[in-house]
Amino acid sequence: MGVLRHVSHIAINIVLIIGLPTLAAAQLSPGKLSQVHEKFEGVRQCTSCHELGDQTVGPKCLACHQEIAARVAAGRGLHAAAGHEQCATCHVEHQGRDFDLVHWPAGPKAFDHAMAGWPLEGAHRKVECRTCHRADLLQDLSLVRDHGKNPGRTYLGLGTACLDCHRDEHRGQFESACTDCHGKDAWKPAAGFDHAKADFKLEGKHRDAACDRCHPASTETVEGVADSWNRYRPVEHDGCTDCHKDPHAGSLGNDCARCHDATSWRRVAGGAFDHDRTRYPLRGRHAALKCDACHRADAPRNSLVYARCDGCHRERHPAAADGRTFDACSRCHTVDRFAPSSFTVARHDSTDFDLEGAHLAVPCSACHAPARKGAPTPLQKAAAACTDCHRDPHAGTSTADKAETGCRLCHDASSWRTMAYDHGRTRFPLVGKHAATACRACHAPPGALAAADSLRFRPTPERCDACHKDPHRGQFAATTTTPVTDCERCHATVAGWRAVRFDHDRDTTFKLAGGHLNVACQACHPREGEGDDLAVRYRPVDKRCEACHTTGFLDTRN
Amino acid sequence: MAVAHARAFRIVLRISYLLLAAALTWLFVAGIDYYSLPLEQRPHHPDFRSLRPAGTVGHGLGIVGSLQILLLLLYSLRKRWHRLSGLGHIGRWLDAHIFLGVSGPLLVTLHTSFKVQGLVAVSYWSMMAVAFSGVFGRYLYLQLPRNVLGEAMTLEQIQAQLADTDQRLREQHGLDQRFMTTLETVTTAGGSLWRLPLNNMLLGMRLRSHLPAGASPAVLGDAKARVLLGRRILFHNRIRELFHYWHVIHKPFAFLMLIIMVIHVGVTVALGYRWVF
Repeated sequence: MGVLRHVSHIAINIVLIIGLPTLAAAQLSPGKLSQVHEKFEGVRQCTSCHELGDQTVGPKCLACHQEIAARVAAGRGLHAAAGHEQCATCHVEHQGRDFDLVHWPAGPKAFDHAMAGWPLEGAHRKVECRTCHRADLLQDLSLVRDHGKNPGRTYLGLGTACLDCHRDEHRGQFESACTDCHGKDAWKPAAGFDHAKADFKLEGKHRDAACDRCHPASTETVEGVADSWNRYRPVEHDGCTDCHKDPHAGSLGNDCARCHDATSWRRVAGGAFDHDRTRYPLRGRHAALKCDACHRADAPRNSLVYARCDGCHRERHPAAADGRTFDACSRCHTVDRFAPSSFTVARHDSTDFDLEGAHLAVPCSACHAPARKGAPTPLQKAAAACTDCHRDPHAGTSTADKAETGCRLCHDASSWRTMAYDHGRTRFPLVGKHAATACRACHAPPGALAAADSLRFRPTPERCDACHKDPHRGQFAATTTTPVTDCERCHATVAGWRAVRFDHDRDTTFKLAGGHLNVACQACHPREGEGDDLAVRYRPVDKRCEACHTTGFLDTRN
Repeated sequence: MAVAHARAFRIVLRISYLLLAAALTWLFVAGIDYYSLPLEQRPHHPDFRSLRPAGTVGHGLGIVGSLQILLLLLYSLRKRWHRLSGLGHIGRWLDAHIFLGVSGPLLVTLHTSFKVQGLVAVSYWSMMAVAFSGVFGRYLYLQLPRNVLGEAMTLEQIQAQLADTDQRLREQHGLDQRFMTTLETVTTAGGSLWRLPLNNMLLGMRLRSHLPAGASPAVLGDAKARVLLGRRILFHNRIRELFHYWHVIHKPFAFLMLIIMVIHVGVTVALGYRWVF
């Protein structure tokens, strides 16, 4: 028993004496160091970081991290701020290989950047950390060269000047600080810029103009890459025409300010401006107009429009149907007045339509009437035919004749009612009483009141019964089924409609002879009927003697 | 006078246990948010500065726990240094030793913030081994009857005490031979050493079924004492043997714990971690 006890004590003592120092050497550390400090692992290297008797590790941290030490010594950056003297306060070690020594309590975006000595302002607050803290923007390359920092991880080495991160949008045109003009909230507008401090003071409308109107984009190809920026200096500004196009094409000289000021191009100093120096001297009623009567705010800026009347005036005469326009108002009008026109009858005769007859007394508007009230007055009319202006009272029944000479076949311009027509040109020459008969007696349409303007010439029947009433009540009709009577078989118009062509012997089956030659017609052809049916009976007539003669007569003869 | 002192000591001891339980509960609840974090996230916790082992609270817990562990060594001194043998009852020293042996490791456990690694982990687990072996030792300790001075009795002394108890049961309580035979049977039916604690706990219930109806509590008490003495005689040699082995476990781990603790404290102090001092 006693032997076992002693053996146990001896074994344990051996473990304590031999094993403990080894164990201690390996396990004294409270935990593994992070990966970046792995090389300091081991009991013999505790004092590589720790100061004996002083739990602070800062001095030895900074002995290695000289880039931080330099900033602390210079009083710059986060590590120089009060409360950051102890490295281990933020960078806790002995937490394992994978422990991240840089800890952001609320994430990198919640970091108070002012603690780093450069407070984030304006738009800088919105960008991601690595937008600025990236390798290609490092200003202090010694961090990489001398201290072996990972340029992709470090937050050091960034410059604080605008151009350390931002490209110079002005390509070196300005020597002043960016913040003299630009705020940190936005690049545009350049709130700090005061154009009044420039050589060219902005006045009037210049204040409202976009910058690039005067400072246009310039493009330059650098190493094969097109680079564009706005040129702010130098900008020629000795004269207005350095920026503005001279609408007067130099005709009024170079001193624009003599008439214009910057408040408005359109506002012209009236007293100082001599319109006669322009290409459009004011004459007539133009001279009395106010400037803005023509130079209205909504008028086009191009002064060339004033070379034409319709630049200001409404076009009174529309283009003709064939597209011709009157582009020279002065041919008819003057600047003194618009009406009356200087266009004379004689000038009208130079057109395709000579004014003659009654047309001379007609007011212009009778022919050149606008389509509606207020509409432009047409000057050019395709007046080839009378009906282009006049209504055809014959309703087209004289079309065949018009095709030959138009209305002038019967009428002339002196008066509509003055008419000359050769009826002999028709198939119905007027002879006898027809020559003295009024036109409307034959050409008035049925039911018309025989007004002259209602005449119809086609169709006009040529048969007698078309106009005349048959006094024979159809006794001489050709057939009973075709009740057409050829009146001229017996009558002649030139003989006053007497039946001069009738030969009783020839035309009847009852030759007149003897006493019959002296018998009055009505003795054999008595009147019959009454009213409208009253007519002389010519046929049929009973040819028997006794039909006319009594018996005693017959006896005596025999 | 001695009884009064003993009662006062028990009261103080119980109050101490209550205060210890309350303090540990409060500390654990207050720090559970931190203690429950993975190790790699703890440095980012607001309580890291106070509850980490080197923190204001954590370091203090370590110091207090370590001092308690050092204080409990006085019990060994009291046992081994004869000049101190008259200083208090050895049983109270043991009670204080046990209290400190419970309180110290628990405070040190909070000091570690449940992050046990490195060299000090050897000390910690040694401490825990000592503490748990102390519980087992306390059991073995109780299996060895002791005199009024707290000193372990020899086998002969125990056998003599057993004989006195048997005589008292027969003569004073009038128990017959049949019942005495029953007691002997119960005594030997204690089972193995590992089942003994349970059988001892159930002893009163078993004896009541064998005692005559209307037997006084004194009879039951003497009967239980007789059986326990009998069982301790039966296991006396085995328990003494285990007790020797227990010392082999308890003491070396205590030494190991103390040595590493000293190293740990030494390194800590050397590196400037002196708590609030």
